[in-house]
Amino acid sequence: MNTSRRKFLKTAGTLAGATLGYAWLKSSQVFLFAAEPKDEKLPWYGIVIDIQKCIGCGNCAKACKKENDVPVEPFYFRTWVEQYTVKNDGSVSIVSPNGGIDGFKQTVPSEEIFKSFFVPKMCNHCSKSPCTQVCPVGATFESPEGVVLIDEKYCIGCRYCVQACPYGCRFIHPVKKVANKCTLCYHRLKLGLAPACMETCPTGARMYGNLRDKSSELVKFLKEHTTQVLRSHLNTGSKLYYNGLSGEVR
Amino acid sequence: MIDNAKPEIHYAGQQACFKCHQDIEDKKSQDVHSDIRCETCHGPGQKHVISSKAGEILKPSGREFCGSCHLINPGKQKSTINQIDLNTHNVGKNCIDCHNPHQPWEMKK
Repeated sequence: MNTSRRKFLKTAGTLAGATLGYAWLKSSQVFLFAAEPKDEKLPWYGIVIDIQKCIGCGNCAKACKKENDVPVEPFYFRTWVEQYTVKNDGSVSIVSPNGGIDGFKQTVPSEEIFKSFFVPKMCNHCSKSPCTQVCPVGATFESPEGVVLIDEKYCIGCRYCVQACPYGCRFIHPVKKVANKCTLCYHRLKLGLAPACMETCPTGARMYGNLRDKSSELVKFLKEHTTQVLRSHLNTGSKLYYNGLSGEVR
Repeated sequence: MIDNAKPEIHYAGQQACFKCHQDIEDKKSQDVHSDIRCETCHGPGQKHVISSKAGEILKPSGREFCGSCHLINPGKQKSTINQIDLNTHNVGKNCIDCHNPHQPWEMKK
């Protein structure tokens, strides 16, 4: 082959440049497009919680514990309900007795209340989840349906994820000694059933659905309402949208 | 991922209930509790679905139980739920003495 030295170097340089460029683009895609579903055939789950509909009955938290065998002690919750009461003087009282399982008793006298509302909390199933990023052994991962899950066999119980979750949605299981969290009742989703918290919500304050399906009830709701995610400045790619969220909620 | 899909369900889902209790579905659909799913009040029903034994499902009664939703609280929207003060509303009586839980506004005589 009659190739000059100059031509060879030129071709090799171009090839190396293209390879490097491609590698760089691909790696940055991980960050840029992490929110994109991996498998187009599978649903991509999102959740809506309507603050105005929640009545603080605690059925969701109770059902979650029963369905997922979550320890009954009042420190372990995969979902819980908080009551925010904004007083006339602007101060805010936040209570969540036993995660709301036993209901809420009025703690602030009526004449001092400016407004009061309930906020159900659960895993936000972030598409750029901090918990997945910090796990040193890859035990936390995102399912192709966008559900953040834990492989208990891999988890070493180091607690990094518990600290990393900005929504406080994880805990260390007192018996298994590994991290535990909401799975959006993945075992139920696989059977075509609604997550236990949504199955038992009497007012339909919680909703889940396929974000990829533009005709789904969830997408319709998101189009028609002004929704918000918690701590949007952290750019976690949260897929839990709140309707009627007040500025006091943290 | 497979392990996460493994656990058995405890809540059977409303459709499983209506396979046998069609009459309740008809009743319920006519009143304000129509959107409430069975297991919200009756608790996890998968065992009952399998065994069909009455003892395997909750039949809650009592003022406190109904109060878990209907008790007056400033956090609840008036448009979402009817709220009552258990201290003044027909004290000494059970809710189901007057109201049929599946059709709350079909008052019992």
